[in-house]
Amino acid sequence: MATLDGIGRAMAGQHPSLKWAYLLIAAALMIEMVVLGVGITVAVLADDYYGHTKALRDAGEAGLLSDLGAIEAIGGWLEPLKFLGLAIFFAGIAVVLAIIIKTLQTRGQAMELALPQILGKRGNATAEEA
Amino acid sequence: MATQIMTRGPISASGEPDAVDMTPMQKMARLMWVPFTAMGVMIVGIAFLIGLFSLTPTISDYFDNSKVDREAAVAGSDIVDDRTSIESTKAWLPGFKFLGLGMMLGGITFLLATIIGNLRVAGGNIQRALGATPQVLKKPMTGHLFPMLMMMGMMVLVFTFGASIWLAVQANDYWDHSIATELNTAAAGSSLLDDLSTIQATGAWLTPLKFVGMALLFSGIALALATIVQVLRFQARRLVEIAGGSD
Repeated sequence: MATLDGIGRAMAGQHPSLKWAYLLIAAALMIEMVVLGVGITVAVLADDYYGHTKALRDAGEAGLLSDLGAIEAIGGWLEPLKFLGLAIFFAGIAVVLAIIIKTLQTRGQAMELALPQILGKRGNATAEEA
Repeated sequence: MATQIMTRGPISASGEPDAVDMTPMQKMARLMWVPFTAMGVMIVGIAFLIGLFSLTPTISDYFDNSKVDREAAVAGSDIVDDRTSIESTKAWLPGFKFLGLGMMLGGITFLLATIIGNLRVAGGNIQRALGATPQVLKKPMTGHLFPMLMMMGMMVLVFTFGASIWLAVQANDYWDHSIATELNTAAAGSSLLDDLSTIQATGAWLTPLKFVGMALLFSGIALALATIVQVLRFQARRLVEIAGGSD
């Protein structure tokens, strides 16, 4: 059975699970920054590769084939990584929403216990005045 | 512990001396969430219509021609015009779609700020109705951060849309040539090869940058929700204080 004191103590400070949400958001933001960093690396490779004539690219001159291989291979994991970052954001948002549900329940309990007490005091004060 | 995050004493407000009002940012958010969300939906809808009624028929027309005809077509021909239209649309349309999604996420952030404003006003009103001095939560760090993240996200997406338009112009310049006689035979150091490498390189960093913009907007939304958690916890705590006889 919840008491007003218990609720007061439970509501003090920050919700303990909120730090997990912050951790997920920070991780997701870092993933998207890493994706951007890798994207810039791919851009440098692409700039080098497509700066050569089609004949050289098709002939697969030394160095060009490894550039092409890197451009294509990195794209294979970079695309899913972008979406992994977004998925982690959604996980973080889900954690915060779950905390909101729990907080609303506790807030409801606080109202249930506190309001009769507050209104009772006011009723007594009014009766004394009369 | 709890006192560290509370603003003690009445706050200034419009109307009655101890009434709690929304902050100017929350008032602005209350007005802005509808236009942002509506514009976002419209942009994404327009992008779909462009894809359906412009890009699809052009692609269909283009691939109705044999590979030999497509590659031999000269600048100014219908085939080359189709190709330039396809490539330039593919360059700017994703940036436009992301801008629309970003505006919708911005609208959601404004909506969450409006919810925080309403919680603030309602909390103040309840405290007054119970005969207590209205107190509000001192703006937490998350409350300072989420509008900034939202604005940064929007700026990144506006920038990527601008870069997409620039890329579309480059793509238009590049593809407005015969594939067989001009593009495939472009010499090293030619402006055509420069255009090609610019298009490929820009595409490689532009897409991740759009995701960074989205990431900033999602971070803003998550921190706005975290602010709501802190406001709700403060209000429950305040109710316990009032029941305990504290003013």
